Amino acid sequence: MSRKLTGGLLLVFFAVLAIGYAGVMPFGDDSPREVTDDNGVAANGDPVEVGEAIYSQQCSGCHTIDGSSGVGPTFQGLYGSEVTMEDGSTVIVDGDHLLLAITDPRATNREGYPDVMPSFDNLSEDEIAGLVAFIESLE
Amino acid sequence: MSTAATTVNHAATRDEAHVETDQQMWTIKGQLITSLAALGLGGFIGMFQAIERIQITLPPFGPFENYYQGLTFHGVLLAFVFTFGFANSFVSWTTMRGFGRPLRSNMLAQGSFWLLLGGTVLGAIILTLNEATVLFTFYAPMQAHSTFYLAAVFLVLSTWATLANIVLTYRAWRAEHPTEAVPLMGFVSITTYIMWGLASLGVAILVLGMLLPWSLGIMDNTDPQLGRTLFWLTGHAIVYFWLLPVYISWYMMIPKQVGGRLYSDGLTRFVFILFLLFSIPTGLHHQYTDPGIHEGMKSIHLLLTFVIFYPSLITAFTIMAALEHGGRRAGGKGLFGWVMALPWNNPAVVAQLLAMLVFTLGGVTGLVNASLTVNMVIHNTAFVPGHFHLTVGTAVALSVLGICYWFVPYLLQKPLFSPKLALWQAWLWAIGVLIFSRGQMSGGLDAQPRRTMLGEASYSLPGWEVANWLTAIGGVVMTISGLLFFVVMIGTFLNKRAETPEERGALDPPMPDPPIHDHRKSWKVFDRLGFWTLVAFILILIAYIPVLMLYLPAEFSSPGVRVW
Repeated sequence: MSRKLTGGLLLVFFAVLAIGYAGVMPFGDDSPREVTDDNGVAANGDPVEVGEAIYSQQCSGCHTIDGSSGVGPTFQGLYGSEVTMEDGSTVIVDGDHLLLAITDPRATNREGYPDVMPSFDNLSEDEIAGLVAFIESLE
Repeated sequence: MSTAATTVNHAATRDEAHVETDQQMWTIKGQLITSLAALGLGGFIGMFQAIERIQITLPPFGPFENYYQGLTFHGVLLAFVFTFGFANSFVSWTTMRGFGRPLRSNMLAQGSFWLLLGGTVLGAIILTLNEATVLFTFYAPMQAHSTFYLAAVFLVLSTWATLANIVLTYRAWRAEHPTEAVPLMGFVSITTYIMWGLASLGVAILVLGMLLPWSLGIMDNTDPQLGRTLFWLTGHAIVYFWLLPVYISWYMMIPKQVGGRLYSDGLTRFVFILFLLFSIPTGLHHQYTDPGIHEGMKSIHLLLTFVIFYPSLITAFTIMAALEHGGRRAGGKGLFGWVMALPWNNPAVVAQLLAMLVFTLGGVTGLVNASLTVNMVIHNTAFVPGHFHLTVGTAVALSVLGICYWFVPYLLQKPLFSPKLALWQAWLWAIGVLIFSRGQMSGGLDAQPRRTMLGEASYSLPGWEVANWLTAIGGVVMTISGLLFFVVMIGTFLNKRAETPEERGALDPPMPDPPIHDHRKSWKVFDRLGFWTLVAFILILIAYIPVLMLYLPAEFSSPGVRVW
């Protein structure tokens, strides 16, 4: 291996080191900071965006948005649909139903799904409204 | 304090054939082959972990049923078999050469090999059957098949057999040389294994006293928290058991290979004594988030972890001095001119130089892990595997590959196949791991969890995508590098044996010259190995008795669970 090639490889090595690892280090970020609430979600953003952020953090483990099955029902096409509850009754999913499902899920357990959803009453009113808006946006 | 220089053997002066007997050399070759086989299998499976990050799941993880089975296979084969086999092989040989005599016991040498092989085969079978997918840390209450714990016992016993043989060899040498200083190569070999002998007590108590009887049904329940504490008593020091055989090469062989000399005999002994004393009482820095352990004790282990950084800093200075000495002797001038004068055409050297460079970053990121408060940011995140692929995955593994580039030709008496390919292997590994670990560590800083099948996770955060791609690309580059290594090794195996004296002379191992600052009488204090072993043991008691006193009595209340 020639001296030139060795020098070139050393250069590549240090370039990967410098460029790659400098990117990890916090050199100071002077971009405007977004105001966030306790859940790290932008406090004054578009409701659907707020809801999407909450969804990806707290709901996506069990609820899909593409119609596929999960631990809980998919959010795709959920809003406005008629669903069957565990006791056999049927309900049209609207904002009030979703609010109850989020804060007191035991009261809204669906047929065919395990009764395992925890309560998300830690979410703020804005966040719940955002989540409802996000679910409504999923046709 | 006397400053008079005394004469001391730094390596064997006896006839090679007398030192290296056939009954023992086959075990050294056998341990090395087992180690490299584990590297090949375990390393190859590692690629599947890396590309899973970008949702590529080739026939699920090689032959395995799930991600975590492959991850366990990768971890166990590399962290235990590859490293133990190499240490047993290489340090047995440096002991023979250091003390200028064969190992004291053929039975122990051969027993060590069979135990390693037996443990490896048992472990590989039970892992492949998916009966022990407990990851390489085998935390309870996850319960593996009893064969897995038996395999762990075999692997540790193989190192104990080597330890016993090294101690017996030292005693035989001492009986013949009652007043001489311990030869430096013998000294670094025996301190490495004494440290491991003490360190492995934790995992021995854990496996023999808790996990094996539990998996056999003799005990119904276990105590996971006590188990974790015992595991980490061994689990951090094991890092130095991986590292010290490589340090033996850096201190003993590299100076010679670059045409220089080791800086100081006394400083070398001091460094290895520091590792003997402080490698073990540091385990709690792996348990910063564990309940039931007093914060004060965690803080003491934190301080001791920073102490153990010190001998590595001395090593950086010492090895750099030896490299500069060699580079200047080769005509290098100016502040950095000696760097380019180093033998960059010798793959055995280049692999280890690059390993050292990468290790600087591994050391710095290790300090992040060790710092109690900063650790909270990266605890159990992908930052941690990012860090240890720089240390054990490169400082150790790439150095081992470098050592193999002269050790294997020497053992086989066959010239190295394609040194050029070997050079490319070293460069690809070093650059590959920088990309790989950059991905892991930046992902970790963005809260990406470790030990997780992220490609299938239904959650993600900004920044993970780039991290995943870098991890995957780096992992593939490292795999290509690994394949090149095995091409070189197989090519070497198939090469014709060296026949002429010149050909054989070219394969001679790089035995050390006397250091620039040679042995002094005052440094004989380091040779009091029994005393230093006792001090190390007392330090372990000081570091762990308060932890156990506050914790005990143990709560054997957890039944075994199978989560895979």
